[in-house]
Amino acid sequence: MPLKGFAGFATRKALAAVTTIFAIICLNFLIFRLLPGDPIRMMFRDPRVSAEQLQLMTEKFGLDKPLWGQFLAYLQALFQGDLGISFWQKRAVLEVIADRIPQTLLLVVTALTIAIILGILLGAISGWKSGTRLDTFILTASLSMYSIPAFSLGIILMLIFAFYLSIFPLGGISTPASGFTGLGYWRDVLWHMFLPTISIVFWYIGEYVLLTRSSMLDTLDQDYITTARAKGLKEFAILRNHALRNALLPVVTATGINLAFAVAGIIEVETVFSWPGIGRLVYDAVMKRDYPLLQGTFLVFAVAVVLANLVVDLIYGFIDPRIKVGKAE
Amino acid sequence: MRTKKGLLSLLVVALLALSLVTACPAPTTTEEVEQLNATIADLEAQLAAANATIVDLEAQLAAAMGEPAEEIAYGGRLDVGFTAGEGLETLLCDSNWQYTEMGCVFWPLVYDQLWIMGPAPDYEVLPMLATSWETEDGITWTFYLREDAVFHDGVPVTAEDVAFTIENLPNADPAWAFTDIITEPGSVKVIDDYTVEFTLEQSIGTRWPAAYWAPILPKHIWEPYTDDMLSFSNDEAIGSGPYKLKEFKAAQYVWFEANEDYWGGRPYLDEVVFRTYGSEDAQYMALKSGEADMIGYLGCSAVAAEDFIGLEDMEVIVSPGIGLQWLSFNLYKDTPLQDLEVRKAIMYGIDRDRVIEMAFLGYAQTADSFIYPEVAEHNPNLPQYAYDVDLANEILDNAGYLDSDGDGMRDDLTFELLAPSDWTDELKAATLIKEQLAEIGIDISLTVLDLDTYYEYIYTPEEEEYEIAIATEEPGPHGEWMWEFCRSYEAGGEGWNTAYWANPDFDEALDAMLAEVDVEQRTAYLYEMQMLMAEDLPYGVLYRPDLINPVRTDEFEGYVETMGGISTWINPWTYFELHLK
Repeated sequence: MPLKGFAGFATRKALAAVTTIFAIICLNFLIFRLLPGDPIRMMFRDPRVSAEQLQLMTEKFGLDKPLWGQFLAYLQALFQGDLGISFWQKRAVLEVIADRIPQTLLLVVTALTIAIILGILLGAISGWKSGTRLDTFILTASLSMYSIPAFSLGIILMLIFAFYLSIFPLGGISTPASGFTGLGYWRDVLWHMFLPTISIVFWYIGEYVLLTRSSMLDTLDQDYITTARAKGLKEFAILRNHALRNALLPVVTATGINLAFAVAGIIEVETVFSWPGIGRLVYDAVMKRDYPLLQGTFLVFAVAVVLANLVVDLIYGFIDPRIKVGKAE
Repeated sequence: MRTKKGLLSLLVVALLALSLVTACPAPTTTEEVEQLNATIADLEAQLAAANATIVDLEAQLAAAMGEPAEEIAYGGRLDVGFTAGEGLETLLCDSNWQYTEMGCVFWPLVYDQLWIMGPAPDYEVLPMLATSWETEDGITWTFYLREDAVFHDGVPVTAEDVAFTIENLPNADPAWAFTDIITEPGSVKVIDDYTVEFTLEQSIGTRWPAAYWAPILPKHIWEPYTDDMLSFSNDEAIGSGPYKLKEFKAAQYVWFEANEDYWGGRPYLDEVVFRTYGSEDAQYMALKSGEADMIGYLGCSAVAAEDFIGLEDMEVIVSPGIGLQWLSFNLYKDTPLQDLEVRKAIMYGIDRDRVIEMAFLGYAQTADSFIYPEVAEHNPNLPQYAYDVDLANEILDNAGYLDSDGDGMRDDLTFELLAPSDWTDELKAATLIKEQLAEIGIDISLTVLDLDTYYEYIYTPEEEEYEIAIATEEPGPHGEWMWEFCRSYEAGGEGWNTAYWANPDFDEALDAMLAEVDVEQRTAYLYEMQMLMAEDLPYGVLYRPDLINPVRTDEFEGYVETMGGISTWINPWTYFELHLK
């Protein structure tokens, strides 16, 4: 008997997420085996490595087994939380990644929260006041910000505010060798966070403004808005209770999809601002051809995006009851 | 004044010697000569002692009279920029110490070596932890250590630590596998607290002592980790060097402070901070704004150099490069490249001056050997292969490589040129070389690969994955290891010999050079080796790009320059000598 209601909806979504993650694991495994060259030889930049040493390493990394055997070993290790050893850092991949996650979360959660709230707000105003000068201004500004890549925006901001005006630092998460502790340290971190946060906010806000605005315009044409107006409700009450709530549905969907693209932006911004997070780790891992680390970061990103989507889907079902009912029957 | 006094002393010695010779009847037996020599040596020693006293007295006098003696101020913090990818992520003793940019600048500040190579132009052998050493055959070495060296945690440095390091460092990672530190099993002996002796697996001659560039690790800290040195996180990085680690933040910065108890006296600087920047642009901005004082490795690009020239409080130091670049020809693969005439024509067909001008904006010099022209062992008589299209065409015509279908390219002379995608200047050079070789009817197709695949291809010539490759290395003045690129596979050269070159005469000369204890004879072998390589062209050496170092001069002076710039793996001297203005 199929589960009904929210529980059934949630279960189906969770199953879909697990399937997606499994597909990603398979892809992640295959991609790095399709690359040219022998990964074991690549581990030794020093070419004087002996045949015995090569053989030993091949066995150690299980590369002497047939492909399906390697895959099973990979899965087994994965379920034990073992993502392998980073070629470059010689430490467990999981440990390397775990070191970087807090910094990235700090930056990304802050920036995305600001971008989403501000974007929805500006988008709603813009849609509500469509055709006015304010709308034109918000629209133009959002479109231009949306079309500038995060890294060039970052470099421009850095050039102006860090280099010429010296108001903000040139990068990093805190002042090197400052010896700051406690509150002083966190103030320093906030100061360092400003430009990278602004870069991400600028990059994302445009999209939310545009989405909310067009969704708002659609909603405003609906009969129930006309009805609400006819009932003599105040403009703000209509906006808040009738228009915005409905207009937000497509925005929520977009948030989930956007998170996948957020990854690219994070890599760029973290690299430009020397932010010691997981985005820069990916960049460095690419530069160092550190395959286990790349594989690990890809997996972490993929799982994060799938999970975020799952959460968004669940919220969606929560906000709009039509979805789960409609699907269950 | 010093020189004058020196001259005067010489004169006195000469006069004394002369008077002795004239006063005594001419010495007839060797004994008499020896006796005389001994007397002269004795007199010289007395004179030196007297001179020293004079210098001392003069100094006292100067001090007493209040004459301002030139004194170097201590203090200041030097900020050194690195781009993020060059940074150090852990303090593990692994190949990152050698192969990452920050790694090889980092450890010479924290760890002492037995001896150290001095700065340009002499690259002199200078004592460091060892005050002296002995060897007769270049195989068995005895090092006598100074007795006042102390690790950062207060434990004295003794022969035990040196023996421990020599025994274990080559096993740390594939990192320290150099012939001058690989010893016969069981041969590392602690003679007394400050004397250590070991026997190498093979002779390294005597031009340079053994254990070059090896950091001496404290045994009392590392001993439990000899099975797997990577299992020790080395968070405190205790060494005996002039700087102590104050704080290490992976992917952010490394903070050093002066070691007040250093046996050689503390360095002038109070602190050195290596800080990472996300991009070269950010690093350049930091330099211009004064946040960083210098760039830690490889300097700036030729394009960026123009930006720094003429800026207030900045100086641009241009040094000859340490990296040499050459074409590696795969002689294993059955192509016309196996024909020496084709390789010669290729060398004559490349206009190196133009490549330098276009790809390196003039910031490079031509090169003709694995030994740099300013190093004593460089053979000045090598064939130069100066650009000559007519000669190149003539060579190919005479060798029978004709263009039978009239398409402008000679039959069979179609080669693949391999280059890694990371080397932007070299890629520009490769494109120019392709164009230039088309002029002599050689059709080059350029293949660009990621760095690791590239290395895998060139280091396995017998897999026939490449035909010609742009290659580069940094041999340094102590570049013996470079010649392993030429040792034939038959003679055990598997590994570095990317050309698959086999020349028994060369192998013989190489072994003779390595076993030779007489410096002059050794140089003769090196001359022969360079000539064999330049004539047989397994590798066609092209040029060496300069190092461009923009530095800040508002606070500090005394940047020390060697080949490769002011801060490289052979040059920690800037960190030792730099001081406040």
